[in-house]
Amino acid sequence: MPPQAHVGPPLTQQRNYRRNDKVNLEHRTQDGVDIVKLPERLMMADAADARSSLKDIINQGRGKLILDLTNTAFMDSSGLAVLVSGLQAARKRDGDIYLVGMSNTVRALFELTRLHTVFQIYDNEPGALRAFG
Amino acid sequence: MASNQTHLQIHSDPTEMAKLQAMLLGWCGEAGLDELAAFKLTCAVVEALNNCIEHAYGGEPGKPIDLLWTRSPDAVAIEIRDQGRPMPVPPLAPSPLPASDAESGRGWHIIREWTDTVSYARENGGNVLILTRRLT
Repeated sequence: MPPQAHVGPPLTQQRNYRRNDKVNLEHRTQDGVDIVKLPERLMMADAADARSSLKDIINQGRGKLILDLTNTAFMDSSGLAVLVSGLQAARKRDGDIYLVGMSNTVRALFELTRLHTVFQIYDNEPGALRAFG
Repeated sequence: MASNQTHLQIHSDPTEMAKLQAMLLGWCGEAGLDELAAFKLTCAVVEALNNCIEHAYGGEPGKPIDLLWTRSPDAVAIEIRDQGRPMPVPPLAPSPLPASDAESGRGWHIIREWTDTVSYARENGGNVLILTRRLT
């Protein structure tokens, strides 16, 4: 089944997301938590830029992040590496990264690689925001 | 039903993987794999191609990679050939996972776990990796 294209208004027009030019990471802040929407695919081609963008967001904020994977239909081990790198950077700042909106397919990748035991995964953004307190 | 084959020549450029990923998902669907099975096989093939780019060609772009997709009534075989340096011999299943905080080392685990067979050979100065996945 081919990946679903995004339909509806551009994501940058929704909920005051700011587009990061390096890679398609859309970012906003709520209650001191950086909320980042990941792109449709997170693969080797985008990994270096995504890693750099994520670290910029972590270093400029409080290290508390929610990564929204609602649009992310495909990820490979390079994409996982970006998230692990971000998690290490966030935890160095006494923060954390919570994941939301994960599809069943991407969840299978996290379960295979046991990363579902490393990241806290929530169904949706409000749940993750409550967990950050 | 006889087997059918599709041959693609691509280059060691990560940006080509995004296009190929969508194509692979489509082929998996045509072979009758459901959404989750298609994701798993596509992911395994992408990991194998990433290995060609990263390890066989050391990240050098523009080098040839041949992909041969063969669908038979009961299985799909994906043959991947490159002309790069020898790859480390794939670890036997079950391939170990790296430490949870490691940023690399998960590719072979994905390939091993999400395909049924993996064979590797060095032929004519290049690497040949064949992955198979049963359809029944």
